[in-house]
Amino acid sequence: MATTYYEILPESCPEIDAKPASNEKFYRLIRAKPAINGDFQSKRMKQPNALFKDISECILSAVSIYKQTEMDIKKLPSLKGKIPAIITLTPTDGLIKQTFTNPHYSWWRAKEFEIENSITYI
Amino acid sequence: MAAVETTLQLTVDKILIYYDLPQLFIAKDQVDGKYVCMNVDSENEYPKYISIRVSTNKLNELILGKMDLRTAFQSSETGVWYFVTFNENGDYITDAINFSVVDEKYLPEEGFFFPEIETNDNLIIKEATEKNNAIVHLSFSDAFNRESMDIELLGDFIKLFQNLVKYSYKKAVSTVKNRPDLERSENYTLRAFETSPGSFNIHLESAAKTDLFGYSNVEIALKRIDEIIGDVSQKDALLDKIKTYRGHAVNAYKKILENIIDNNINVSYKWTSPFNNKVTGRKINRIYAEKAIEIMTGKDDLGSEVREFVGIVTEVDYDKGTWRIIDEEDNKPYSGKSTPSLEGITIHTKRYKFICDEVVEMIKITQKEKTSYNLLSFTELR
Repeated sequence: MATTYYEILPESCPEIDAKPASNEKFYRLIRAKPAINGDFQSKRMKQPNALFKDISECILSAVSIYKQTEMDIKKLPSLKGKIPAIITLTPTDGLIKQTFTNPHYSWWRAKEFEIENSITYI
Repeated sequence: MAAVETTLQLTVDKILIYYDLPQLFIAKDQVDGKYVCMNVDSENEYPKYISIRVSTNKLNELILGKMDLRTAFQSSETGVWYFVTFNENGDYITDAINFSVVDEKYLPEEGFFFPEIETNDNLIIKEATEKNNAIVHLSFSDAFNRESMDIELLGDFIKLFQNLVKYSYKKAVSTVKNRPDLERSENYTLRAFETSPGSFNIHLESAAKTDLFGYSNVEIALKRIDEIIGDVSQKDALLDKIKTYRGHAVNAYKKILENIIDNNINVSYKWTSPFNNKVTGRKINRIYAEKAIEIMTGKDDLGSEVREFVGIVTEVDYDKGTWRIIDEEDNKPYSGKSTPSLEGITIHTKRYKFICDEVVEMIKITQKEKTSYNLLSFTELR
């Protein structure tokens, strides 16, 4: 069955070598507990008109996650104060691909993804 | 703080941390000056970064984990900090500022370092960063761990390793259509730039430049080589992996293994790139090579590279068993010999599908490769 994505994606997106997750755990920062849909939206969805000429539209339409349960990226100025959470992604939750520096992944979120059943707060 | 009228246009050299957008990256100006740029506001339509120009020494301290990011941004070697924003074309534009003390909201917390680097791999990481390129360290030692090597043997191994990279790359991209950029030989060619002791180490870099994110196409081959030099105790799994690279890549790998066995040499390599940012590699000694060869023994088809040509046959010599076909995909002529009889083939008018075994031989004197084709079967197409 074809995946229906949460966001409108550009053509040829997700990228051809993206794969479904297999009940893997990923790190994501959220604004507050409990997590809401806005915590799992891409930069492109939040800022539809922003121009990022160095980043492909497909990557901009993905949500960043890290395949590691502990990260110190919340020490960075723009991420300070955010709350770390672990999400467990199943094959129906969309496609993932390792992008940029390992263990960063881009996640093209499927509509089926249910926050409350997938999230654990650290 | 007083604004200084210094506006520069920066280009991204390498993204170090990406989280929904670039959070931390190295950039350069028009004269190759290096800058570390860190996102300080991602809520607005365009993100805002704080940036400092860094010397090679300071950049290396950051890369090697000797300096945390907070310390780096608390002082600027030039006495100037920059805010970096996008202009209407999406270019990164600086606006110079002078801080007496950098405001806390622009600083990371203590203890944030550049993405983690293993200390014993510092040199290769440093080389990858400085050259902004994929780097391979290829090492040799004999059974006595001596740091010298017969020059002829050394030459053979380097050539064999280059062939392994070349054919692994070609195999990996063979299914990708309409990407002539991927077919360039510089994508898989390695160039030596340094040697170092330890065992006998040769430092190699990709002949091609990396892309904006520090990605080098040679990584396509290196990742596959990592895979086929796998765990020999998992025979079936390893054989399945090797089968996916059947043909010239496996032949090149087998030649390396046979040379290791014949000469009792230990060969290892490790590699990294600005994009990959981690060091991986493999070591092969005689025992490993023997086990790997044993896994492949009896699997004759592993070395067979099957090619398919579709098009008009322009020449046939029924007596000599030779042929020539113009392949429709690249419009190039291919010729060779045939195992089955060529009787019944009509030239110039009918289309055929030829299934061939491709054989690559090294010509001893010129060290150039010669590719030949042996026709295994053919079908007339309607």
